[in-house]
Amino acid sequence: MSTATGVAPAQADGRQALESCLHAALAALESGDDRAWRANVDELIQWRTQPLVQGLVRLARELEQALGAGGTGRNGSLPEACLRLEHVVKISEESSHHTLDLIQDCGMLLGTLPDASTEEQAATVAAIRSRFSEMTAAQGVQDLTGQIIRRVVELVRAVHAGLGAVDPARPLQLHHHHGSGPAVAGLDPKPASQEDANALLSALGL
Amino acid sequence: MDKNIRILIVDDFSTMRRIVKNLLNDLGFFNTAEADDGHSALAELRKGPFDLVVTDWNMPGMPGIDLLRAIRGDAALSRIPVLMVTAEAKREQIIEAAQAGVNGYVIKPFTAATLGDKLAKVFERLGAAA
Repeated sequence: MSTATGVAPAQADGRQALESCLHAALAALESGDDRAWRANVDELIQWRTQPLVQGLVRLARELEQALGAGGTGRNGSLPEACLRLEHVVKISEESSHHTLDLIQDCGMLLGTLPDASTEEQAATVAAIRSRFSEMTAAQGVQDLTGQIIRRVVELVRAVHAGLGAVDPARPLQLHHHHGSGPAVAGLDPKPASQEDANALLSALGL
Repeated sequence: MDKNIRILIVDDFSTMRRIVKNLLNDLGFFNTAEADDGHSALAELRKGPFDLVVTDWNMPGMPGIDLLRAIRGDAALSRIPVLMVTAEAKREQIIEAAQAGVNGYVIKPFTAATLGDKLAKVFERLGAAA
């Protein structure tokens, strides 16, 4: 419903309050009343920012509903995305254990062979064992990918939690004090190599 | 080197604990125990004598750097050598670990040869200091 001037009543009330606040601020400034001047200006600023904050909170709630609690089983929710990523960590961990089982089996099978009768045979067996050790170490990639995925899961969870409780004074951030995890090319600064670490520790007397 | 020394392996990933354990086995060390973060590692360390700790840095609960500081700050544990095996590869982190009293630092991904080499160096220095 509008007034004769085409302005809704609530809007007209607001305008009147705004005008009186502006007049009060001006009067306080002219009379040298600093305290009243600041109070009126603060009220004006609050007036100006309130619709923006309300809009942000509403947007966040809608996003939270769309991406979180409103998960519809169509692969769209953030919690579901986290569960999928955690599943990737789990199956790659199981796969690494299976590979380690096979490496151990091969090592045991190698041990059932008759003693090497020549130096050449002994050297071959030693070379195979050395390669088994390197294959074992190479399974460490699962730990590295797992660390990166867990970091992403933590970030997604922080975004999801933050959407449900938007506080403009507290920006979203990870509370991660356990380390940075593996460096990712193009995202993180170039990490130290083992040689760099050796040189650094050596310079520090280690 | 006494191959019967007791070694505690600390990592939150079961794969990595098994990898380190298997590589230690390949090098002839079979007397190992495991923990999945700094808190459970400290509980293990206080239960029984250990001669070496091989620990990750990035773990939920208590990270490896705090475990290292806790070990160095505990009179009963402070002399145990600690080898850090981690993906944390920033220069300042390596310095932080050195200042906290680490005995060796292996950056993931690592090779079996690198781990063997670092362990040998830790033992060599401890042998020389003894």
